[in-house]
Amino acid sequence: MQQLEIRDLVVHYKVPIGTIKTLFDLQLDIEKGDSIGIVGESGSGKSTLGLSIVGLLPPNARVKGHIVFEGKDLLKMQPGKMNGIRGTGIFMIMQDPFNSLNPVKKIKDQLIEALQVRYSRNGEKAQKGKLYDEVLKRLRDVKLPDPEAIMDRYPHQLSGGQIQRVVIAMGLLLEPDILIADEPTSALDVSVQAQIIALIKELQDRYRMSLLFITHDLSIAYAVSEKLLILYGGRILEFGKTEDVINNPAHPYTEGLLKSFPRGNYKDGKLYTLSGMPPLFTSMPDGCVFNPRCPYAFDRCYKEEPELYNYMDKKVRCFLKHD
Amino acid sequence: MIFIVFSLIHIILPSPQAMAKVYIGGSHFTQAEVSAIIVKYGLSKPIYVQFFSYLINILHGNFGIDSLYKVPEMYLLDKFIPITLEFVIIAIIIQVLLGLLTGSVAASWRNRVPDWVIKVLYLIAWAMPVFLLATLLQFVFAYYTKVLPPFNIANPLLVPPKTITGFPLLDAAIEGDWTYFDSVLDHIVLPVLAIAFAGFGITTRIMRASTIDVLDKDYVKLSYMKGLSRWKVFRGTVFRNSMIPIITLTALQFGFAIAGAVVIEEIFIYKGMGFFLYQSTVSLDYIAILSTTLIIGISVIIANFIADILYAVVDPRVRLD
Repeated sequence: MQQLEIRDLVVHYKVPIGTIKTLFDLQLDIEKGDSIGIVGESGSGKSTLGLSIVGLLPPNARVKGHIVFEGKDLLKMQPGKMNGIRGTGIFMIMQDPFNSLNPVKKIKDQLIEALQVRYSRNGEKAQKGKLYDEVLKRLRDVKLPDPEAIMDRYPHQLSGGQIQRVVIAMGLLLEPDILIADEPTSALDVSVQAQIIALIKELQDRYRMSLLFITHDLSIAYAVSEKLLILYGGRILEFGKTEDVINNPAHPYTEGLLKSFPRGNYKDGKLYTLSGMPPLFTSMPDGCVFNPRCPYAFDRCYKEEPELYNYMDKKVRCFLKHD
Repeated sequence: MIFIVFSLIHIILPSPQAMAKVYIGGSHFTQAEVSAIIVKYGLSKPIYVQFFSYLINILHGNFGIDSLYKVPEMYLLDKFIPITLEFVIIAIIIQVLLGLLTGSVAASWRNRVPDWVIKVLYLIAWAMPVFLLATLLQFVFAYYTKVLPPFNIANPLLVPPKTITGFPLLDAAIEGDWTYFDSVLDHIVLPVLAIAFAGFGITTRIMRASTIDVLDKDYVKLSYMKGLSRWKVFRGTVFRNSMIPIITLTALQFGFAIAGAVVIEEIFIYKGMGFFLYQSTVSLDYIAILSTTLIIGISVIIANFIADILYAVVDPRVRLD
């Protein structure tokens, strides 16, 4: 069953110097229980993708295409109706933990507020005490030490890892169908990163949510996801089962990413690096977006843009994988 | 601060001896009388000795005897301060409410019609000098349409209620003298509007900038993500965070408002401290100028102190655990 269907999604940003195309012709299906890793460099449009699904793009963004959730096109929806989808339907965890909770409200109040949203949507009423107990239970679920004390704290009194756990607990309280995590660990210490990722994975299995995990770190995406989507310059370059993509990379970009990953003995020599820089949205190359950095680029790559071709159960945007 | 005011008055105003010399030989004074006054008030002593004795006296609550009204200065201050405080505080409250509202609206409809309309309004109010604004208000509402009285604190034909707190509105309410209360209310509108209009632009501007800043924060996105409605997100998250800088700003504006009150009271012949200060300056009433300036200074300091306390109430991050 298709839970979320993204068709021909194009996102522009209107800026004083013109328009910037951030996402181009994006297609993605999310099935119930899926976990999809979205990997891309900074500026590849990965956060834009997450924000466009929840309808929280900045006001200067222009969106075209279709995002269909439970039979309804989110992009054609009234802004007021969209509020009814967010929270219990789709929930997104933000990148920067230090900015993601309201600094003037206690953790308790922010979480109870979220829980009340779910209750009121289900038409249930709950006592203050019952709400408090449920919030406390979820804080234990996300393995926060001493949850009673944390309930009475303000966000600035918590560490980044603790805040991310609180936000995850908020997600659990809302019981969303789809959880989008936008680099939830990039601002955290490596040891905390591993814990948070394990937690997200565990909870996803337990509550059967679909997960969209946005990251720039291929190894994290590998650990979390069953399907992997490689985003570059606002386009999908490769999409398939995580195992397939990692073991048999089809696109030169994926290949490069994997080669530049340190493995084995670090003293063996220099690490492989992809030459060049990711393209700027203001000056996209003609033809294939990856051509300036591609070691295999040939004439056709500079003239026309490849489509997303089917190649061995995967989808690849490269002429080499298409006859 | 006391020292600065004290010194300034000594520098700017002619000294009593110099003043006295003008009159010596005339019908008012003889040399002996002047000498007696100089000895009585210690005017021949060095300025720092004079300052020191003044300091000790005000610490005892003794501001001296007013040289014009011939009553203790304390009595006059007690009479005039509440009148000014009353309308300045009301004006500040209206100004802040107006600023918060317009600033929020402007930020929510950024670069659209409501934003432009508000920008035009506050720029006009802001760019206009207080005295011009006050005179215009007086002209339009009092002389042209005659809906409000042009000057005075209340209808002079009414008998004022007993002085309890000194605040005319409060006293009338406590006494239950509602005709007097209505009259005071009618008279207070124009001075309050003048001060509120003159100052609300800054509040609007800061509130707009602060709201735009907060709207961009991740925690606002997260509030939306919870599935809360736009109004709830605004009330619970955006507003509570964006109003924090307004507290400091209001404490600063309180000083401007009191200073503005001097001009406003003169225009509306609203007999409060500003009016008193103006009259004293014209009549070279040293003690009155010194004491009123001191009181204005102290009230600004108190306003800042209150702001600091409010800050901790609103923003948990500055609280000391």
